[in-house]
Amino acid sequence: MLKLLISRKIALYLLAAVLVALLISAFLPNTYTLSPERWHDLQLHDPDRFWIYSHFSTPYLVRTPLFLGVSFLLCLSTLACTVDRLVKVGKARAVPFETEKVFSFSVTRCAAEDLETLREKVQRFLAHGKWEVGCEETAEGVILSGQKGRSGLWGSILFHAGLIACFVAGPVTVLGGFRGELIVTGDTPVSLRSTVVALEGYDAARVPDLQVEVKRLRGEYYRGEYRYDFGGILAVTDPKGSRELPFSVNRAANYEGYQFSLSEYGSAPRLVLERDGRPFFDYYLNLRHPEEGDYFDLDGGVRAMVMFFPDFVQQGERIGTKSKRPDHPVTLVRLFRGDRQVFQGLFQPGDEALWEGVRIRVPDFRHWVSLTVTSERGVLLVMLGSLLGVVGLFIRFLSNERRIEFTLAPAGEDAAEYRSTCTIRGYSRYYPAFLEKEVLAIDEAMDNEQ
Amino acid sequence: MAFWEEIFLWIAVAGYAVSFLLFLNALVFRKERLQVFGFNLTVAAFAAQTVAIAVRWYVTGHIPAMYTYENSLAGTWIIILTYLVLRRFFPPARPFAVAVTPLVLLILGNGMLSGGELRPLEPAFRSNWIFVHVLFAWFSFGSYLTAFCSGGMYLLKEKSHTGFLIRLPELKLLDELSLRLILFGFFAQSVMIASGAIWAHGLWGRYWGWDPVETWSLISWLVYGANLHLRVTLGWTGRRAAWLAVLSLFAVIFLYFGFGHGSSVHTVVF
Repeated sequence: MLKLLISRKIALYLLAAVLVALLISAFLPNTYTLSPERWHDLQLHDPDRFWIYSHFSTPYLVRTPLFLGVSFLLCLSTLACTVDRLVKVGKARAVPFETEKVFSFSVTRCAAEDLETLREKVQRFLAHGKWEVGCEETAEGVILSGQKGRSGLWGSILFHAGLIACFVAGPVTVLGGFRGELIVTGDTPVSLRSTVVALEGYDAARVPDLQVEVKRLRGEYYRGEYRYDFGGILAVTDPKGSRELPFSVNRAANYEGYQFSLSEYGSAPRLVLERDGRPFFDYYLNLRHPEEGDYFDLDGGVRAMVMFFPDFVQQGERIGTKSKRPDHPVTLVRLFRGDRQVFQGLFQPGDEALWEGVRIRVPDFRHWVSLTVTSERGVLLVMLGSLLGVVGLFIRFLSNERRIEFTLAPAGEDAAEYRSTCTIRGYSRYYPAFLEKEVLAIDEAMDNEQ
Repeated sequence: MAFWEEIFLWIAVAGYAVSFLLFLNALVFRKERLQVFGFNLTVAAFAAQTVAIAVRWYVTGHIPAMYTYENSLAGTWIIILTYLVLRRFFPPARPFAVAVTPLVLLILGNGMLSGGELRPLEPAFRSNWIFVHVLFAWFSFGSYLTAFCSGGMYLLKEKSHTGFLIRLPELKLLDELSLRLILFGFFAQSVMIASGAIWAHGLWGRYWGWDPVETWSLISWLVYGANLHLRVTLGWTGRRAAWLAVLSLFAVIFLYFGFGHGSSVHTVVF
């Protein structure tokens, strides 16, 4: 088992399996690529395709036990390979070039110096070039070697350690964290635990029992059209006291390990329906479909369609908004009985109308926000892993592990004017052309070495 | 688009187009002088594009990194920069322009068709991470693109040593160059993904969400990771490595043009 785990080929097969699975799943539609309406239609009208998409598209596939199992094995294999490399380096103190796939290139030169003088010259050259020097006596002669670029190995180890930290962050986040959505109207205190909607796989009961309220909501539009700045204050009250935390897009409010990120912003006109002076419907309506209008069920089979125009404009039969700034707010209310429209009215704040004995009022409007409530315990691991990985890769990119060997031997008897020979052989793991250049440059430099 | 931005951008587009034709002619008809003209023209077009970017930055008040047009404007600038830096340190890479310039024109064309309306920076983009995320994204794409050129030229040169192919760099150099470029691209893409995750945590409250753009960026990262392992661990070189460099780019093309951008939180940012 251990042999399998430390096999780099197995690690590559596992990587390929994860890659192919992700690649295929990425082509399948999911809740990100289809609108909620189309996703729902698919569920109703094509259950077979829906089943495939809801099991094998990426966001779903990555939660299946098989995918998680293969990913876990890949993580284990990465860990085992990294540890194995460390152990081997620790034992041998160097990575043997001769036993691994490397490039080599050599030139042989004859020298007029005797063996000892040549040896001193090579040693001076290696020391001058800051090579890690080694020496070995063999039957062929003296081998002086120099090695450089060992930091690349440590870069690789750092990168893989970072990768493992990121792997571990996944389960830490899922098992120890929380994700949910909180939709609140401005200046309306609510209980966090009972209002937050936990996403699938999370439990809202784990959220602390706090009272939250959003205040002083602001939505700014450049030239009344482009989103510019959105935010407000989140007031959190717990038994210890109350705190006010500013939040805006890109600047989440953090409270006791929970992050509140602004994800949606909209208008909420207040609609009041009264019969005989008694209100039977009185709500701030958080409108989420400014283009199509939002529908609400009332008593007696009546439905209301409500639209909000922040900067109302009317041209003949056509109505709309000049900008997104609430300079001239008007609320359109249509009432339907079945499919038949039975009432329509435009209301400025404070306006009211009468329909079949029902007083319809729109006294004012507020804003609402949707806050993503999260607790990501794994984020520190992700940051640490990313840092290690990036630093490791950078070291790996800059370093080029290579070795130069000088084999010094006495010249043969037929080479009368030369007293010794020197074979310069370079080994490099990755860059053959660079190696060739370097060996030729060393050969030339040896001529200039005093 | 601002007036001067448009003028300089069209000068750049024309420059890249003529430069591509000059390089093509130079390689096919073996005219060294045309290569020199082509390279100088690429530099001039790059300078014009730099002015166009500076004008847009000045007028909008933010780094051009929002939506398709600005991304293609800044991205192609970084791709050309990668080519010029490569050419500076590795002169035989000069003919790479024959592949780089048409791809740059394609990306710019796609961006210009999507419209270059002047807009202020949206709230979601107001983060210092935008500089790191976008810059490194394009550095990685630029590196992968030039690695693709290197791999493509290797395959062409390996097939035949006659005609214009004789003028391409040596096979060994092309092989080594594509590895170095992929390694740098992989590093840059890692920075892009890491910075994106940290930015996403602050913006959306989660560092990873399997959004299509995130998924494709992970896929392309894994593709290049596998590519490096095949070359470094299993010792793939030569033709196989060149095919790897060429085919891997498709993952990146999918990431940029493909499934993600139509329906992603990367487009509906807030």
